[in-house]
Amino acid sequence: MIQLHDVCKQFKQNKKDHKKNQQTFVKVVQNVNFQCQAGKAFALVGANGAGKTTLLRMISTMMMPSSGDIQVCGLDTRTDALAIRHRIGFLTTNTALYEHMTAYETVRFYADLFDIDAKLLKQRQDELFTLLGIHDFAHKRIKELSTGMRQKVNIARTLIHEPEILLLDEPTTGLDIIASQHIVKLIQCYKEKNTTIVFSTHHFGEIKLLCDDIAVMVQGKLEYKNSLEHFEAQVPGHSLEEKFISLQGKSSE
Amino acid sequence: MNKINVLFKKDLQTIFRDRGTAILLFLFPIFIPLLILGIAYLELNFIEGEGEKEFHLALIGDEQSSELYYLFRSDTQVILHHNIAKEAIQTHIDQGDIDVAVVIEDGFKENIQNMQAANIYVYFRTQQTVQFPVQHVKAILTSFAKAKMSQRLDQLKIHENVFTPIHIKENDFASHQERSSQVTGLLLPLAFIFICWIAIMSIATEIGVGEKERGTLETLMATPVQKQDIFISKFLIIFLSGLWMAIMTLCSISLLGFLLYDMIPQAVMQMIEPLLQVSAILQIVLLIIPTSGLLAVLALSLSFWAKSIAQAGLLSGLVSVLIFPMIFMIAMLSVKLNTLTAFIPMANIIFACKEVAAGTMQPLFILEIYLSSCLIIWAIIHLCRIFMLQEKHLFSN
Repeated sequence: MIQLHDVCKQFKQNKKDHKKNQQTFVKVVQNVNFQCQAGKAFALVGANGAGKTTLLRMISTMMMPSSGDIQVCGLDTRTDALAIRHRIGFLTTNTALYEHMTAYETVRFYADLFDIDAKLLKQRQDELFTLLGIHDFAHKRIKELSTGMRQKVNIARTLIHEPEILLLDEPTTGLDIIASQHIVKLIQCYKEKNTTIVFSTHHFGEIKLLCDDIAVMVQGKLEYKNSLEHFEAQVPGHSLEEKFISLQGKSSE
Repeated sequence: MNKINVLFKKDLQTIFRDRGTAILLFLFPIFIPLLILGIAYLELNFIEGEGEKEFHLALIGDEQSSELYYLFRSDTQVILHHNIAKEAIQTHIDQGDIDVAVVIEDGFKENIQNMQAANIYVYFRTQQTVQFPVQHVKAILTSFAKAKMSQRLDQLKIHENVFTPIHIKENDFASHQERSSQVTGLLLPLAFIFICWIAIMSIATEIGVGEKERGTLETLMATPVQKQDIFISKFLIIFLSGLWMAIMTLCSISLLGFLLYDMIPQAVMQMIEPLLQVSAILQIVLLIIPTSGLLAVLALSLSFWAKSIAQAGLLSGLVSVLIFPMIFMIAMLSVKLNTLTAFIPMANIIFACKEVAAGTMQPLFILEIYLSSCLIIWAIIHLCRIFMLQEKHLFSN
């Protein structure tokens, strides 16, 4: 389970911006409260710069909140960062991988960082490579792979330690329809395995297919949070996109 | 420790597989000595060639001194020209028809006979290349003037010592090695700090800010790895790269010196020979270790501080501009390595190079240098843990 209590994140402004706004800090995330139950999929939606990535980075313990608390599986992100990292798998927004490594070496490298023993690694690697269709290019260097192939490797390295919680930052951005569908199916598969999933996305089709709960972020604030059913029933608008836009508009008023 | 090992192996694989860094680490140490040797060979060949070459000399007023005329005529390198007017000397020199002109003034003969001073004018144009013709002519004229002086003193029955009542006899206890250390002690730190710095800054940019810019650092931070483990593993890789590069270059220079022993001019050989001895090489290697460590921690801090590869490049350029004149200035100081100066980081290595070049290095100072370097490296790593490993430096966006 993930619990956020009054979470704020602020960054120091650079001198140029500081002169314009006469503020020392810029608030990227403001008083965010939410709870994500174990085994549920939680979607974070918002325009670019709304604070989704920062929020995911804070949950993953990469960043610390300026104020407020985050609990992951009952552990505090401030004091138990390493223990939390053992339980989460974070798929970053860009397909950042080591260009000179092969797909096989990449997954093995991350497995070593999670202290997975060789026997278990082989078993999990086989499973994941089959599931994601990586076997064909497992021994090719990352620089020789397409964006879709890279994202598959990226997902394999995120899942190699079988995390209890999956944090996915725009997992299908920049991918073609086939690769996107493949990844959506994989997320569905993990959801069925009772993995807690928090993902940010701009694609409402994915939200409909995957999520149980939805949160809309506008300029660092959580403008809406509830179940997807509630979102569909209560927020004005015909489609999910219209509902999202109406929330955005309401906030800017 | 296990995590540092995993990260270390990953970075090692990266630098071995990257074509740029692999070329830098494996070909550069061979290329540098070859380049130095090539330049030295061309320069020496040029100097030798120039020294043996014939040159054109215009002698005007030769009727005033037949002795001088015969001196020039008998010289195998001189091609003598008589029919040049005094007014046309500059034109001929500018056109390259003649290299030097010697004008013996009117009344030269009488002045010499009457024991008066007589003038000889030498005309030439200073060029960028070595002035062998001018030097050659001046040498002939100086020895001619000395001969005239001796003649006069003989005529007057005066001994030369009348004009030089006191002879100052110098007794320098410094060995040849100590004297040549004035030059080698200056060049040594410049050379190996430069070589270390090239490798260190390139690798630090690749695995520091490069990883930040590509976003792979973010993926590392989502794993159960401490930030300082990432920093230490990168420091070790950068440190070893600098060390490898400097030691390989040193080995390659020594090997080349050994193979081409006969080709190296004696003057140069006398200067560098003390540095090619096993004890001196070992001392240099011992000094390269703290140098590489200090430069590695500095380069990695800059790399983590920079927001992009371009900014890191700019910063390393700036540091190079500052660091090399500074090394030069410190090396020029007449400060010796002692118990106190051996504790000044970086400067102690420069002072120590002078001691190694002079063959007067004391082992205690090496210990002090290691102690001081380890302390400063530890302090910088600690400061980096506090300042450079902050969120604002670790994320490029």
